[in-house]
Amino acid sequence: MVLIGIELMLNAANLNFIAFWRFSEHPETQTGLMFALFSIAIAAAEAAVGLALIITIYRHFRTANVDKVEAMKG
Amino acid sequence: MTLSFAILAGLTVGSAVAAMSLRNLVHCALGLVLTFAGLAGLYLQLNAEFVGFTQILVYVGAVAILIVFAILLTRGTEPANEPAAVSPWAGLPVAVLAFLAMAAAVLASPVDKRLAAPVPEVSVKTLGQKLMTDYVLPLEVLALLLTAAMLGAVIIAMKDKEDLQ
Repeated sequence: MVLIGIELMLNAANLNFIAFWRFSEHPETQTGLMFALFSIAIAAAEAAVGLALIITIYRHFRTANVDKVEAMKG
Repeated sequence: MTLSFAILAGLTVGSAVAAMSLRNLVHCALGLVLTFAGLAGLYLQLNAEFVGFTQILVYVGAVAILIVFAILLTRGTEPANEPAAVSPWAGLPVAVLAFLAMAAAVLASPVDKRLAAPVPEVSVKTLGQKLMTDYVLPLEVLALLLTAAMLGAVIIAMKDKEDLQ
């Protein structure tokens, strides 16, 4: 659930980049496009690390529900 | 505002709300995929073809599959349909505040006072040339970050197995 929220927020930021780029004074500079592309790549890396964390947490706590993971100490 | 934009925006927002509010994680993942597809459509409509197709490849193709894999791998022992521990309305003021700030910024900007900019000429060729000239340092850093992230993900996910052996 947390990961889904993070992905949604990153996508919202990307949409803002693209939209403001399209209606900006100088769309030929393509700055917004580049920022969105790099943001997509970073989001992919974040998703991979996040899913590895989820699988580790699930192995450790036998649950993937973050509401139930209450111990900082294993 | 055209009809296609209205349809795409409604689809995207509706599926995003569904992805956040449904309690069944598989339904959430399906809503998320729909959101990604709607966003790709919006990008295509904004003349950002390359970003739109990248969105489809990376999100609808890869990230969605990863999330579905994680959900299917980590379910089974959990009781279904338990109530949320945190009230879902706690985030509403934050969301409203963020939306109001964005709307105020948009309304204060001169965007709506002029007509839409002429359709910019963006080809994959110019994007690639930009990536290889102006943005070559971010590109290299990104490559390093992706490699580090993949290695880190593998190490994090493998650690317990090493302990067992």
